[in-house]
Amino acid sequence: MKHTYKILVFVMLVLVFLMPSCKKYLDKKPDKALQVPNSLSDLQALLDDGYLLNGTNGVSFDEASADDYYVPDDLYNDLSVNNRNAYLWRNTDYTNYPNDWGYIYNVVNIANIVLDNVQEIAITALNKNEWNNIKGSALFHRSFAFLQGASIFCKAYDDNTSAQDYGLVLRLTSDITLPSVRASVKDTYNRIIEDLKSAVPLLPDLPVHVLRPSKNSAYALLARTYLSMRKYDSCAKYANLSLLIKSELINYNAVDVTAFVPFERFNAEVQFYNIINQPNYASIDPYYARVDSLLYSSYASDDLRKEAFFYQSFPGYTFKGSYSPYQLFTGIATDEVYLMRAESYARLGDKDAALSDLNTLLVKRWRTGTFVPVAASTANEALGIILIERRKQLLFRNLRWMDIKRLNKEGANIVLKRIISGETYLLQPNDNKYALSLPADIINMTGMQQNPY
Amino acid sequence: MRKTKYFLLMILLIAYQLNLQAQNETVVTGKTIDADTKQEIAGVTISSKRFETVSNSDGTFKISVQAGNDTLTLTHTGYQPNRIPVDNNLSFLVIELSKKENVLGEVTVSTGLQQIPRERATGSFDLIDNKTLNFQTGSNILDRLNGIASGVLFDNTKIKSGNKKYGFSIRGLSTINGLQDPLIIVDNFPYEGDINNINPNDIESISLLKDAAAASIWGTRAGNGVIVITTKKGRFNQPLKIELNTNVIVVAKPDLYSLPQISSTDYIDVEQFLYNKGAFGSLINDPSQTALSPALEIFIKRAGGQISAADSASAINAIKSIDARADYLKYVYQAAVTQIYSLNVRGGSGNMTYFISGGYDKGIGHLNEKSDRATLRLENTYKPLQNLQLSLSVIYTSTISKSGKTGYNESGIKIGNRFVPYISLADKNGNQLPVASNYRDGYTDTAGSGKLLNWKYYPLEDYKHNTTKSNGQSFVARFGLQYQLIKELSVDIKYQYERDQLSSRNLADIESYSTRNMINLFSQIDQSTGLVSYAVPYGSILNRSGSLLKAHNVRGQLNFTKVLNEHSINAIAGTELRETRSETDANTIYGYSDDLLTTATVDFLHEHPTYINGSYGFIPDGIDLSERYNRFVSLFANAAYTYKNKYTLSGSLRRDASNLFGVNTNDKWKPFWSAGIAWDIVKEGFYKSSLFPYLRLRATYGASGNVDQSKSAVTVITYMGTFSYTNFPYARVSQFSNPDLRWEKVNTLNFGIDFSLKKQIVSGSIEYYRKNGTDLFGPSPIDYTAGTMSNILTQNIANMKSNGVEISLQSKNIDRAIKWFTTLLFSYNLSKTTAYYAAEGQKFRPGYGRDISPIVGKPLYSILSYRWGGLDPATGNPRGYLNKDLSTNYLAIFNSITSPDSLVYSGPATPKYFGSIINTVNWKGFSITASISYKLGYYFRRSSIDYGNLFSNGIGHPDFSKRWKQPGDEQFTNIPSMSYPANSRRNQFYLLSEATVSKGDHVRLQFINLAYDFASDKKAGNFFTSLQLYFNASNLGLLWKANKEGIDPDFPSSIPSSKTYAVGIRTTF
Repeated sequence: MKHTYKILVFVMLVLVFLMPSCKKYLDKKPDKALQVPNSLSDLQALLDDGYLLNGTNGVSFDEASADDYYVPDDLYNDLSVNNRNAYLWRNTDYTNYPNDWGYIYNVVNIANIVLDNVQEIAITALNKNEWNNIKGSALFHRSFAFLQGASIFCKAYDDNTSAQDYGLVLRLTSDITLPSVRASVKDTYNRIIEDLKSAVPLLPDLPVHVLRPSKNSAYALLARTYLSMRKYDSCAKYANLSLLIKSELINYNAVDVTAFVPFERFNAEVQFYNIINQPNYASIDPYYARVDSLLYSSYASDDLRKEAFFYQSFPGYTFKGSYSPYQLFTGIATDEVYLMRAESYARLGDKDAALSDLNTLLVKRWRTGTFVPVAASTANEALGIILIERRKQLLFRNLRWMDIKRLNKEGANIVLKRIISGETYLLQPNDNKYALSLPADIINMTGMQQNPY
Repeated sequence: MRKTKYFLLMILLIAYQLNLQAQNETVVTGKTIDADTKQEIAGVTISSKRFETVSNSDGTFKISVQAGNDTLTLTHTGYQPNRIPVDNNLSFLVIELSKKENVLGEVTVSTGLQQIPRERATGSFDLIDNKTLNFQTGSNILDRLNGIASGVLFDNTKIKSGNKKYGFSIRGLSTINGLQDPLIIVDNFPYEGDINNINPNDIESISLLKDAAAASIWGTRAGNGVIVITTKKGRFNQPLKIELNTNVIVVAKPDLYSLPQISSTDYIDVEQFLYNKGAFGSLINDPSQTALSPALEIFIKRAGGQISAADSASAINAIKSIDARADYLKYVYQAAVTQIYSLNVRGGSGNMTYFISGGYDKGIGHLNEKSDRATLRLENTYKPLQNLQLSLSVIYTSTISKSGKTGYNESGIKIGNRFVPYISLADKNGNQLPVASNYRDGYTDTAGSGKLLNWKYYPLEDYKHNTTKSNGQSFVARFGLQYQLIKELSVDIKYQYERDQLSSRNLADIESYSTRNMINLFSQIDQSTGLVSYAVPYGSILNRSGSLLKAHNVRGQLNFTKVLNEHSINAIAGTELRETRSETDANTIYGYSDDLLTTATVDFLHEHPTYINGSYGFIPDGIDLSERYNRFVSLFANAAYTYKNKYTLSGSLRRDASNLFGVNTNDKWKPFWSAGIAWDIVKEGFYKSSLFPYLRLRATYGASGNVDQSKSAVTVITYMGTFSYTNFPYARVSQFSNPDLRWEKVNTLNFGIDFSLKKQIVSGSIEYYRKNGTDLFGPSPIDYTAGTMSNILTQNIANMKSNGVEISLQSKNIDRAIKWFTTLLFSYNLSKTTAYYAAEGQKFRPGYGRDISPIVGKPLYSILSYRWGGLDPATGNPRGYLNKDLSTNYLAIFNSITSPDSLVYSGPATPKYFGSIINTVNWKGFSITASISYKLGYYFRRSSIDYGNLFSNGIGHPDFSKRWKQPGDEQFTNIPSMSYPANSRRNQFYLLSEATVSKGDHVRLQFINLAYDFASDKKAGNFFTSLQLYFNASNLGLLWKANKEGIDPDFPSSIPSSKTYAVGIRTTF
């Protein structure tokens, strides 16, 4: 009997001593592909998820609300209720996830996870470039998402009111338990500019791949931000800095404009690649979307874009001029940067510089030998031409909605019009509806202010 | 782990010393058998002057005696005590015990860790013996539990997935996240492999461990109950026994017509309607040449003036009469046939036992798919020393399967983007027809002007050219060592190695549609030279994939038994380590020649232009690699104390840890405990009832918990591979840090009564259980501004209370020349939500009863609906209620439901009462058994017409023909009018309203079994111990159902299991 108890005690002791060695046994990863993001390569891998950061986000509420396209009556009937409401600016309650709001904040959160974790990694002489690139890229991606969000969910930037206007939720850490609160439009834009300015010195001049951000695209994004704020001197400054690094344009004469897919992916003009893979609003998909007929007829016959950008469909014309085969390109390309600089120069009164930029672009868009350089007597006349060419070059790039908002602030008086079954729907300039609604479930859950409409 | 080695060494050394001290003692071995039946008796307490032991499951025992001066006393609750003097002749003793009158036969249940005599069990165990298992046939042992095990609910409506492979639950689900299957133990270890690798003819019995006390000894994974499968084994001193079983199983063709499919006429009318509305405008002009249905092609030809109005009308009429299912039943499906052969040989001498079995199954499925399974099993036990028992078993299973034809998709045949119900596979002479599944016929007729490969798809021919062959090999080896250290204490060491390998090979040869399509798609024709360049090389495409599972299990266990006067203690304690490692790999080879083994190189790096519309695409490399490890460490202890053989107290404790990723080590360890008590009331002096000669009460209580995989203290990312455009590795967040999540906890209380009437006319047990779950996991809406990639997150959302009753009765209605036995199984289970933590501003939506119901006081899984206000008499729009007024403002109705009480509650979504009645009649050698099963007291949601789905995907429903068409129809139909354009909210409202709820109650004829035993009269000189011819019919359909729509509630919108017939011979000699 004595022995029995001794053995039991002994066994107990052995079991107790076994415990610590189990810790190591249990630390084996259950899946080789799993990782806690704690190294620079892990963080870079998160940023290299092109599906999430450059692609699948089908953010398109703005494009779907804009006027580069229309949907024929019978195809309109095939659209979802949400999409029909968006098309006619009837921004009623919607909750369907995934939606633009969610996609934008998915990108923000990835950037935040990277930013939170990169701070934990010490900078050494060896990893400095990589570290910088990661932090700069995360800041860039967050700004890109915030700017997209501001274009959709906020009123146009206005120095007089933006301190009071409802902006975005400025989530700057990856803590998912933080409550969501809307900042002002002013704070939203300030954050974008501040982040981009801190990203610029961290990023390389040109990227290893256009799926990654770089100085040229960060400058271009700064220019785009200032343009949407109508701060033209800054816009000109950063567009210029961007073009100093990369200014190459495609000559459309070297492109097979008759092809169904005329432009290759990652072509020479692409600075930062971003697409709408599956739009959340199907109405902008070529299946439904027909190009505004006035816009189509505004292309001259020697303008190669007429053939490269459109094919005849039934009814009307369909867009095929994306810089990404089969998906709408929504990234940053050199043509946009030229047009931003041209517009800013014109608005700043430098007619010649403005026209020079415009002609540099257009000569590569017209059939060889047919292009007559654009001339104008005043900077204002030049501005008018530049704005028309901007629309003709940058259609279906998720830019039109932002343009309508800011141009109406400049007094352009653009009235949007839809006709469905003979009934006409209008959207007046500077209408409250230009700040599109947030998802209803988010409003319910967080108690944030919905945009009035 | 080195410490384990020292530990074992020390134990052996100590054991050796103890042995030396016991030298003056001698060990006798023997066996206890029933005086009447000569069956071995387990659990007999055998005591000598100084020692005491309990006989093993095979009746054997060994005990130290003082040679020539000792007496063995044998006691057992079911038998008269016996005393045997031990003389100097120490041969193997065979001791007969006579049964006490009116006592149930001794039964032990296996927990996988120990054998417990049923009379000392406090927990809820169910034992299914070999005979009951053989009521049903088939290659899957677990499917045989259907209709014969109490508390086990088979649910065919739920899709089987990785979390839920077996399709049944024991006493309801304890968790909705994580694993939902019961834990399967084969002999002593959890079984990781494919359940189809187990040959049912090798199985002796199955124990079900249902309550906390029974199951908690298995820890974490036992929350859904434990099924212990015990295999057949040889016994010591058993004469050679040979068992042969062969049978043929025929499964009738599936009843495709039970699928809810819109009629072809209605479907074509809808197509015509949509075509006239211009809904196909973009599709018709689609540069991708997306295929269109035959009717649309006719409309287009008519519109283009290519055919006359009369031709068009007759062509449309012709296709209206086609139902694709007819051709599928005629040309594709066949009755499935499986042949099963099984042979086993067993026996044993004084110090060794053996069991050898071989099985061979050969099956041809409904789609002409073929499967072969061969199993080989060797089991040996050897006693080199009196105190030492070694066992070794090896199990080898080889499976080969070959794919067959392509079956009918439940929604129709996919043509382009839409499902179409009226496609013909062959013309009226039986010649096969092509089906335009991807591209329009007009395009594939001429594309490439002869320079491309034929671009047509022939469903009846294609399967011959696109075949998948799989080859599986499973190998299990077990080693066991049992050493009796001293009289009270033995040590058990068991090790199991399992290796399952499966390799699949999908060869799509050059004549297969998928290969021709792939090659054509990536071909370019030079317009000037006419030369074709191939990005995908000419030749077959071979997809290979493999998976390998390796599992190691090792367990060290101490068994302690001590009987001192009226006290008896049984205890075990041990530790277990388990590792499973699974690897998968896959790749694709192009330009392959199966004859020459030549392959071609392909450019996976760049995008290639495609032929039809010039868009770009990558050629898939099909590479997929994964490697996963699961590691578990457990400590467990279990003790039972019995006083005067009347009162039993039991307790168990277990802690489990696993290598969950991203969880703090402290959170990895989970404690489980249980306690129980049993009272054998018959043995009390005051108990006088002769009505119940056997009556036993028991009660247990236990606690368990569940931690969710997504309970992660840190953010976890998963590497997804290489991003195709950049060739950079990329990763995605797979778990967001969710520190708020708490453990799911479930406490279970179980009461049981086991009883028997005089002469066991009626015997059985009644159990009552209560489960108390807190902080149950469930999907809860979250503020996705946090960027959580989803609008729902697993959170602790509810508490629940569950009450259940299980009654299991066996009666001998007639016990003469004709014998008639009845088994009645009855289960009652109702779980209620007792608290629900709704997110702020949450809108409640009805569903299909698969999520936790938010209404406090109502069943955990409930059918909730929007309140139904009938159809609008003017428009046929479905109407609901908004602030007590009829309304068709669906969005406002949805948004008005901010409290779950605003939904209409119909009833539970899972059966409140279920079970079966099994009757057996024996006369001479004949035996007939029939099982009728029932599920009562629940509701289900029918599928119905979803106009959105019909317009965009072509998925219809027969309800379409019963829809509201004109004012007045609302008197007799609830099916809304067709409204165009589709209004998703209108559809959703109707589909989730009260109008689509039906009662699920039904009674089913589960199986009929007919057998004749030629050797039953045991005439002298009979060569066979038994020779049984049997016939079995199962899945015989419903006897009664509550719903008027004619729907089988187990298969509301899928094909029910087909009728199955088996005939076979079972013999022992």
